[in-house]
Amino acid sequence: MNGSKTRQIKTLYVYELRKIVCRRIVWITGGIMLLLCVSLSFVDLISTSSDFGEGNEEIVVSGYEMMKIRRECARALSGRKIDGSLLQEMQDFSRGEGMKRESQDVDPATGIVVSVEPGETDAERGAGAEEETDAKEETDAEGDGDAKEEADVKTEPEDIWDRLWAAQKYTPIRIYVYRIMGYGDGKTMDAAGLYSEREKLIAQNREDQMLKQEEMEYWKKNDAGLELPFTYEYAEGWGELWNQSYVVNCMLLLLLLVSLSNVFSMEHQQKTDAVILCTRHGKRELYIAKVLAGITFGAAAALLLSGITLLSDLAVYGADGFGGALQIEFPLSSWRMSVGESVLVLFFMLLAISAMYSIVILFLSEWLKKGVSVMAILVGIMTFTLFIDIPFQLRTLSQVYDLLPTNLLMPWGLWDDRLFSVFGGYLTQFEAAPVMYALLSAVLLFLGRRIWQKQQVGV
Amino acid sequence: MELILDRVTKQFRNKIAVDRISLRLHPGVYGLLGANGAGKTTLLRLICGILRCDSGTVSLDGLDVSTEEYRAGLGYLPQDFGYYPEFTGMDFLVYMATLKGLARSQAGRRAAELLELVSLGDMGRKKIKTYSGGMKQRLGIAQALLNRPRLLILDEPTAGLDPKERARFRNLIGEAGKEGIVILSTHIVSDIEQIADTVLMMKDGRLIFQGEWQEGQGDLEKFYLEQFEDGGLYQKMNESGKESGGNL
Repeated sequence: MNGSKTRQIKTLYVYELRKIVCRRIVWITGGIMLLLCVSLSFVDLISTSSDFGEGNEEIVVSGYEMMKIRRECARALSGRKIDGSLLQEMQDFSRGEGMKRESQDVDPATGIVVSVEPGETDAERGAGAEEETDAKEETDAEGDGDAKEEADVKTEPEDIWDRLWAAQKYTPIRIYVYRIMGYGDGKTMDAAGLYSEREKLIAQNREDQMLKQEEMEYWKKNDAGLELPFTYEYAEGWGELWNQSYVVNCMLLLLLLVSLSNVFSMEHQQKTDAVILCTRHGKRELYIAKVLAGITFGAAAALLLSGITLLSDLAVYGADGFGGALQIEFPLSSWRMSVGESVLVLFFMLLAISAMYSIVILFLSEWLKKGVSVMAILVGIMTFTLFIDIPFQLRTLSQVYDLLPTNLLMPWGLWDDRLFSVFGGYLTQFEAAPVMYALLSAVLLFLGRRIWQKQQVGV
Repeated sequence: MELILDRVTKQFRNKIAVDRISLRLHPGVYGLLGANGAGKTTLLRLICGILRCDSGTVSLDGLDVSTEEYRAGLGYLPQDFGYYPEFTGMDFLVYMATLKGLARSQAGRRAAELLELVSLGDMGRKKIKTYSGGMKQRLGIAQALLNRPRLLILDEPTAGLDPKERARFRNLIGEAGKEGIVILSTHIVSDIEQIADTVLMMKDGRLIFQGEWQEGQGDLEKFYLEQFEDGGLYQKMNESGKESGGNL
């Protein structure tokens, strides 16, 4: 392609981008999506409140206040290895000060403190709480001079913040332990037991995923490179994006459907195809310009939606912990990278997905020649993949199904250890997906170009 | 310069829209007349390459209709002229000029020149959705002329134009016909009478008349209507076609 044609494509590309961006519906949809992205980070903080009681006194704080307290506690613990010593400290604290004030548990899924009202029975609190009560009684009976001294200081805090902060001191570690152990032995667990339980869960996970021996070997070698014990880092701001990735992915698809589904079909519906297809560059260069404009818009939308979501997360939770181990946020993951690096992978995957979405939408737009039909088909697929899951027993089918852009960006993808064998090597799901998207894109671009160039007006 | 149509045929399901038309056209203005459904628009689309012939060929100076070089010398105003409502007239013309291969600076100059020519100079910066029907039609004419086409195809170009605009348009076409081939399809016989050097008449996908029309030959409209009545050219062609095996 000579320089003149490249310049023509460039000019046409700018015009095609303008055609996409100039539509009011694109701005309205984009605005709504951005608002939703921002609200993803805040919605939990507004809707959740946590109670903390002391004797008959009950303190109610908003989810945001509680998050701030936890954040400060987590920051104080950042850089500490999650080893026997830290776990012991946590348990001692629970038996001492924590038990004196109030028995409380933390929901491992949400990290929300579950208060236990005075007079509530052990049976009501569950099995895990029984051990906690035993430990409390033991502590009360034996007495611990140091702990009591510390407790005395903490029981007369200056204000609500200090009292809450004191109670939440080890909550981040407790949440981490609960993520692995559940409610069971969390309060008495030692480091060896904790990491062995993690390995047990991972092994069970791999068995469920029906991994072959070669895949097991692959992960065994990989796991050997993980440095234990993990060092705690507060990285909620980065990790939260993984939890929101599915919603961001859906919003991206909807925005691209609204914006790109008529890139080609518009030419047929507005009858501009007759004048553009008989121009010098109307068949080849215009097709390239339209595809490039569509992909660019898709990439920009992906970066904007995920970028705004990440910025909101960082604004709320803080930007700490970029270099923290991914296993702190997602204990079952075997990826050897930091949580921040995993977010970069997430961004890259979103870009690959946006390109895939754009190309599929552009192809359907040219093939079906009706924007509404394109939307109907892809929203249908999105809904289907939302409700239908293919079990691991159908190994190949489920593995390929999970590569679909609408299925790929889930937090549990971080501990999906199924591999694709390619020319003797192995690719993880996140490595295989861009390759598959590239191949599929090439086929669709080729077919789309043929349809565009063979287009007959008035048939 | 020569446009050659060699036994060009196009069929839509059971209807033959263009039936084995052969033509050799040289620079000048050609007026294409025919009733609705005669196949005029289909023939023009075949010449523009936006419809593929079922059989036969179309070429300009040896360049096949499917080539980029052929399209480089083509200007086309379709019957239903489509536009981008959010574009200004100037944007639209620069966009079309780029599609036609003009460099950006050249495209801007040519667009401004043509906007003046079709009396849209002061409307160039306004969005096309604010234009009247006549303005849009003039914009369509302007885009067809952007690349100074060697082959200019105009399908119902005077629809929506007022008498003053039509007069101006006729002059434009006359100029274009001096250097290139202009094929003009219309129902308005008087337009053809005044502009066209050669008249082409179509009925049921076939070319029933091709020839020059001089003032001394009488009323073209009357002649045109006569051809479709009993004893006219069409009936004679059909009879002759039957006798010779239908291969006129």
